[in-house]
Amino acid sequence: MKKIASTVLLLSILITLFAPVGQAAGQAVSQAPKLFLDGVELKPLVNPKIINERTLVPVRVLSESLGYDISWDNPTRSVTIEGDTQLIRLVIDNNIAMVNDHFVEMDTQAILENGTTLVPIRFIGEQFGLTFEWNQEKREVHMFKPENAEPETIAATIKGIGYNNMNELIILHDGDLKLDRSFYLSNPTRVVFDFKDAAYTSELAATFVSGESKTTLEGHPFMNSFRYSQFQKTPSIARLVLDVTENVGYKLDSEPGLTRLTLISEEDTDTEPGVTIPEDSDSSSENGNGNGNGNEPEKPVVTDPNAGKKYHIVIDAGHGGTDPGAASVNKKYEKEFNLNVALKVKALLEKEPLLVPHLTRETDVFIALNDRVQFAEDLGADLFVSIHANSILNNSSVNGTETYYSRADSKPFADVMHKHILGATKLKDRYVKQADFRVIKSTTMPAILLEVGFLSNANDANTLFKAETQDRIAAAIVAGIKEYLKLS
Amino acid sequence: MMKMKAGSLLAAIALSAALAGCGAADKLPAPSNNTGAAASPQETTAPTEAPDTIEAVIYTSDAELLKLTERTETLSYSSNEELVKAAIDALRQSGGENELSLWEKIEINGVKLTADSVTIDVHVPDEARLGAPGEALAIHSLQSTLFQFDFIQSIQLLIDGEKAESLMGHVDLDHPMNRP
Repeated sequence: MKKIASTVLLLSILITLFAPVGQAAGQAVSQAPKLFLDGVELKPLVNPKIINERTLVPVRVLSESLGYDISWDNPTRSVTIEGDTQLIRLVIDNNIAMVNDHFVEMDTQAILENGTTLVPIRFIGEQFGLTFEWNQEKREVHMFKPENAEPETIAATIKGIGYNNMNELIILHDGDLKLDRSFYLSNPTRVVFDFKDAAYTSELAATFVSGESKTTLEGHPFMNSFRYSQFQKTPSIARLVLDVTENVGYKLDSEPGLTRLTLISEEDTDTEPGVTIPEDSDSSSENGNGNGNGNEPEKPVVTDPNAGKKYHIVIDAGHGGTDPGAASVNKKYEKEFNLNVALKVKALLEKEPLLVPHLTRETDVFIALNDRVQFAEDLGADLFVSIHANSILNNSSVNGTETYYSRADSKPFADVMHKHILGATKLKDRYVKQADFRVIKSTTMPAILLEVGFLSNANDANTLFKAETQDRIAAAIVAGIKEYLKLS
Repeated sequence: MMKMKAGSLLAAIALSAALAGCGAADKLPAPSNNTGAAASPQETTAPTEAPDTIEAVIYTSDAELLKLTERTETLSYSSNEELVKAAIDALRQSGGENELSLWEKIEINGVKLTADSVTIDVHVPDEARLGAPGEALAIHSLQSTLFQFDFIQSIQLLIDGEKAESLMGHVDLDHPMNRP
């Protein structure tokens, strides 16, 4: 609280200092306009400015007051403004804006002045559905959010965040704490968690130093410290940052009043970092609390709200043991092909930090169809992929790749996967089809069955039993899973 | 082989029909022979040990394993159980290139008709195993072929005497499969 008071004092001094400058230059630069959002005056640190009858505001106004995501790209001198519905890219000193991949000509342009990016507020606001009124006499810009805009809400109030020595951070809170996004940043390496519509109790906020609370952990294998802050006020976002020595996996469990963040060391999971770490020189800006200079907000690479969630994938090698599956014209059995590919998929999935493979069989053993279904259900698996090869009697010319789904909710997964498998087999397209095969009918997660090719056809069979084809098929299965889960 | 048999049977039937024109009239209306016979129409019209015939539809796969196709076969039989056996034998034969048998390599251990339920015990050698769509079509072809006979209400398909979960590892088997 003390800190806030001194900041206000500093501001008033700054304003006093600048005031004469503004007056001295009064002839050239008109008095700064005031900004209002739904009747409430916004007081940005850097004054808005009117140039050629257009109001330019510090870009930070957009993120802090209007809740848009801002990112700055230095090489191209461009700023990207992202809201729920629109993505706008402006280049400094350029009157061509890009709005959702369309070029739009503006009657003004963004400028860079004394290290602050100023952007045309009306042009941007109108893209996001705001309405504007200009009061010439009072020199006031009034912005109004659309009628249906959601009211600002605080869904969760955080009462405390602590570490329990079991690689778990415990967040105590009232209300419903929802993770909005999580992502990695580099230099130093850290993991950032943003909780939307979340604030801190005034008692907790009173303990913040420089806008954050920081706890240092001595001798922890991979975490040096954790800290939390009120990253943004409108909408309210609480941010938790872990300073780590390596990228870590995590699991988030919620129960009423308590959210448990379990951290998994990379060594434990034996995975590779799956999230690219952006170049980021400004290591302190993730605790943005309104005091930054506003023109170089950092750009998170991952903004998916599901980022960090681990997906459990069941890979089902068809047949096995006393059930050899279809016989191949090259004297091999379908069960061998299925298992080879499944094991290759497993090896690839183990390299994916967010994907956890589970095989219904890893050896040549008979597994009942119902046990395969039960295996996936007991796991609460997210996806189910059954690997098979096809066969027909008396027509060795039949060939090609098919992908099956049973329940309608599995069709999108089948469509995505089929495209990848076809690319890997380069066999004839026999399309995505619906059929009620047991393992895809009785499971409850998106489930598909691949009939990769015909072992009754010499060309298909020879292709499918080549190691390189199996490698390609395995990679295609992983690619299909990742595309479906939007991880690629 | 089946075709040969069907052809010679046809000749025999034509012959017997010609004979019926003169000497068989006294046999047909004989109601006394009907006592104790099963109450199916085929039995009542075939009261004697002389084989009757029926035009039966046999279901097979098209050339590309995409859908069921059908062909008509004249089956001869002296009892309903014989008719089921004849139909299953026909199911194990391919017709033309667009009438591929899905049961050709499946070995039939036994077929038994009890009341309105037929029990079929099979052995599935490795070379008989089909992919998922082939298995689905095989099950459908068996059901479609046998359920055309009104006297069958259910099919119990056993594999080596067992109520196996699946014939070929893709489709679950109901025990028994009831008439839809």
